[in-house]
Amino acid sequence: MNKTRFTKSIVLIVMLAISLVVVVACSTKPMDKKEHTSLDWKIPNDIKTPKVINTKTLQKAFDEFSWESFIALNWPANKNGTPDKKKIIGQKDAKTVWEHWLHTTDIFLPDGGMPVTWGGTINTADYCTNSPKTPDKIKSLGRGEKISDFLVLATEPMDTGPLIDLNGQYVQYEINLNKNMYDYIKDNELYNVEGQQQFAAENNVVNFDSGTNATADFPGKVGAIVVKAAWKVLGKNDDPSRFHTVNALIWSNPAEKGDGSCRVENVGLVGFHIAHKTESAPQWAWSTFEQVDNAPETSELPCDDTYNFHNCSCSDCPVNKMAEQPWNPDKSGQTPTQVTRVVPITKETREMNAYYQAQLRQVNPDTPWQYYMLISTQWPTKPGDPVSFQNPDPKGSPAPMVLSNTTLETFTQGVVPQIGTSCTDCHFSATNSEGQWTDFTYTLGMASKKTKKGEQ
Amino acid sequence: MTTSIQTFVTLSAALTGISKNVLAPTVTNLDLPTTYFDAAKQKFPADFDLLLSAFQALIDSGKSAEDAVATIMENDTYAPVAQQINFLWYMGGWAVVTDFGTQTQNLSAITYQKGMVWQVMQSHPMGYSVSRYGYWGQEPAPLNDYIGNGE
Repeated sequence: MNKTRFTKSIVLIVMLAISLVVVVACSTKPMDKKEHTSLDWKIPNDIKTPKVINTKTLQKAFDEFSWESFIALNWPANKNGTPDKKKIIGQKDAKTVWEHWLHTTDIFLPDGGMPVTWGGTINTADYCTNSPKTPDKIKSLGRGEKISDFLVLATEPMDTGPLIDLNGQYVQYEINLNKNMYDYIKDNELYNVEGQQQFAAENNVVNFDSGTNATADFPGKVGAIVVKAAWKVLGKNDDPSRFHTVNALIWSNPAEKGDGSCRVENVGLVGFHIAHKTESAPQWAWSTFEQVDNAPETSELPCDDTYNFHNCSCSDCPVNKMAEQPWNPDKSGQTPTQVTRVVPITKETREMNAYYQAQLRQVNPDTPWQYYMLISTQWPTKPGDPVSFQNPDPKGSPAPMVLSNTTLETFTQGVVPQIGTSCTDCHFSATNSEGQWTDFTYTLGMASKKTKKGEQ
Repeated sequence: MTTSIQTFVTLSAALTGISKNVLAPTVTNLDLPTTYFDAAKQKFPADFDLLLSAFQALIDSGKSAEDAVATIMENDTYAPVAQQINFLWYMGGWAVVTDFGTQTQNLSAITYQKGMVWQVMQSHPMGYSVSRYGYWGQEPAPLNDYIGNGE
């Protein structure tokens, strides 16, 4: 062997050894934050404006914004709700940032009183007054370590009927607001009917904060954010390792024909909306995610896989048909909803999902977060002033024209305008209890009149 | 956008009097030029290509788009196709003459909603509005905000 060949062989052996060490290290060592540039605890303030502006590049920018938001909102949180910067999403399934945000039920109280202090919890004993099926100790549990969530909505947020899983259980929902939005509602006393009337009487128009990117003179800020989450009670044939799970206290809401009882269940996240008002999206950016096992696309039928909301062995089951009335979350053995996805996920979004899922798998091959996917992001192609009557297109011609989550808009999926789901089209009509403009949120319509108790 | 569709958009702007930026914006939630181009090509397999070629030849000879359209409208072969394209942009469908007069055969619910007739009227189709509650009590935006300034 001559000297050159010998040197080459040595170099090759050393390179192979280094590669082996790297591979072994990557597969055993917990990932360092620096190795995951796509995984960040920071909620993006707005999209990163692409160099070339057209429909495709903007859709991609909004989809990236959605994934970055999903990762930041689901980042493991400290006890005070701030992101735990020492951890990385996926290392261990933990209570997330958005789960520390206040529920609409914490803000719009039945007595019209002052909302719960940010970071506080409501007294669940006020709700769980009739729990014949549960031990008394439930009444004393709040949203602490053992009980992560308090779920009170068993029909879909748009009141289009319950979504029933293959075990005959109603999916449960919650709507949470970020501190920016909470502060605006609290500061302007929009949490009760009288406050809203006063606000309008002074010629004010609801106008939540917009997320703004940092500049040389401005540090940047997050805008108003609303999160809607859909949870499935985990039971027979469910694999909890494929879901972000929490122990939730579920209140069988009498307003939805429930019996007022509470019960504790292990629930898995199946649907997730993020609505964020930003400078580039005054009509808000609407991101929606789902657990990957929810339902097949209509074009994928007949199927032979296992889904959360579709039974492949039942080819005769009516598809996307709401349950017969009366709806009752306490009734057992109810007919499951046979769900399919009507509008397919685009190739570009599928590719982006694969990229982020791979990033999450790198952190931890067993992380449940790898089993979530972006369906799409709806954004305004003409982002003008939505309030002005002088704007010929105040809805901003949203793209894509329709967008549905199979767990949150199960029964209104489709492509027909006004009938098929469009986040912007629907929320553009949102008003408060007095019929006044509420800047794309229906939550202000949940306000009650102030009672004597609420005035205290 | 292909050259043929660019020619189609130039022709459409001259026919309708609506800005190219409104008919074919760079950022849009619906690619109407391609939808209408494909529909016209299917409906008039021979004459549509001839119309585009004739229009492009007039432009290449130095005529303005408006003058080129005026020449096209004097031609018995091209004029009926051009009229249908004009109708398509305004109504979102084809004009069909029946015993009850001219009716619209819409391409889809979305093209009906996107018809330029609503923009020119500074109004909206039945069953779909982009305006918020109470708009009927207010002055609409200026016409140019709906149809562009001719560019």
